[in-house]
Amino acid sequence: MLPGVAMLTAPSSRSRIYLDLLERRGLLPELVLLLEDPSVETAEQRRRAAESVPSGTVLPEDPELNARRTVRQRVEDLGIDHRTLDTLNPNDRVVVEAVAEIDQEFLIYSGPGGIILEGDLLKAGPRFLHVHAGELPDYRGSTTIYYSLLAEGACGATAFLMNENIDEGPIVARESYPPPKNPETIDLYYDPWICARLLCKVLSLYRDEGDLPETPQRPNEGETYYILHPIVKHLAVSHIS
Amino acid sequence: MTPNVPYEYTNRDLFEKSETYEYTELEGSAFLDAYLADRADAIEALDERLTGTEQRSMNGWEGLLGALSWADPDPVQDNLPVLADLPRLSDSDGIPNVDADRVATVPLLAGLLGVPNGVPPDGEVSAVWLNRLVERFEVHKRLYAAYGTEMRPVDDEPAARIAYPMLALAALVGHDRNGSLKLLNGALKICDALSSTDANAMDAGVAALSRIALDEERSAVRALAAEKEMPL
Repeated sequence: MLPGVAMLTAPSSRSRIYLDLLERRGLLPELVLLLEDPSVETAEQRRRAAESVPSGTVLPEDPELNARRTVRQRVEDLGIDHRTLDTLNPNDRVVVEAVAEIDQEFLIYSGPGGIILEGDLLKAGPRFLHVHAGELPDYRGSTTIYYSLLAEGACGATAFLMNENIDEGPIVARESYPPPKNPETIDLYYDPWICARLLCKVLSLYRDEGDLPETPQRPNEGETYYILHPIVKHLAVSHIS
Repeated sequence: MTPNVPYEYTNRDLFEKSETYEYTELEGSAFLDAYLADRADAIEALDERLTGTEQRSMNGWEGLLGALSWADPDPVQDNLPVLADLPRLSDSDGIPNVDADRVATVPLLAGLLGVPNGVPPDGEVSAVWLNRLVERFEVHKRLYAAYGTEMRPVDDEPAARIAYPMLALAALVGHDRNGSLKLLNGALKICDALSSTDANAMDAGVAALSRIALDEERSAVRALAAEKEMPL
């Protein structure tokens, strides 16, 4: 386990893929906070349930990827210290209290998407380390992987420390990635996989150096995008096919 | 030709129940065909709605702008100037300062479309307001009659329906000028809402402006596809 690092998860592909790569690279967090609410089916879960799952590799770029093992299964099998919080709202009081109790320096944020984190949570204790599937500050906001594919024919990811403004916290690291070999994998696999790769790079740096670099962003730079329209999605995918 | 996949984003009135666009499916070129068919049907319905209504003389953007209650859109459509040929106006009359503590949505949109100068301005202040309005639509899928500080609705009064095709057009002008995918994305969602509405329930002004917005949106999508060397 990597000292000084905890992780907040949701029942999502992103959390599964993060833990898979972190396990393979020997960078697992000391503590995991699992956000769960069996009474709620997220949009991603509906999408995953509707997917015709291939029996073999889900991501051509990484044949070893195991994205089917749930977060809970992996955490329990590996004996990672964990707490279950019965909510999918990261701003819920029980989450704020649980975060305030942990003593790790960094909390990898892999909670439910599309929710703006409130100050009470962000100031509760550890610093929130997040990886966004877009190069900041040019691609802030939602579904930016498609916007950058359409505009530039490439993808990117940025690790940064969260503040109360969307994708505006200080940048830790940034990388470009090639388009996916199979565009059908973007939402559930390729997007979280490139983020997981950058996360591993950042955590390796933290393990070796004991600290992370920070470069402030200028809020007036860049662009904030909103969830993309399916026509833009199709044009982006056609562009790389 | 009937597309072999449905265009599912206009199959209910989006002003009644909005669309989230989360995890939309990839359906290949058939989906693009379905989109074009949807827009063709919507434009045809709007043309039928406008048949027989009073025609007015309208030329260029000035005519378009005076036409918030016009009837037949064809004269406007035929006389729209090519955007690239327009002189560039900086922010001008009709555009409030960026830190104005109250703006009325329809007059602001009229200013963004070029009232009273006949040409849509493209200064920095106009860009700020256009982005703010597109963001408000993206977040709430609704527009309000007036906004106060930090673009909070002044009260619960909804914007007049004409605001939606006006915002779609303003966003398409912005996209045409600077290639902003964010603006095109917003225009596509607004046009879904326009296409999802019963044309016969629209007043003539809204119907006419919606028809122009849908046609301009379709042209913008085709132009982007051509620029990226994609068949459409």
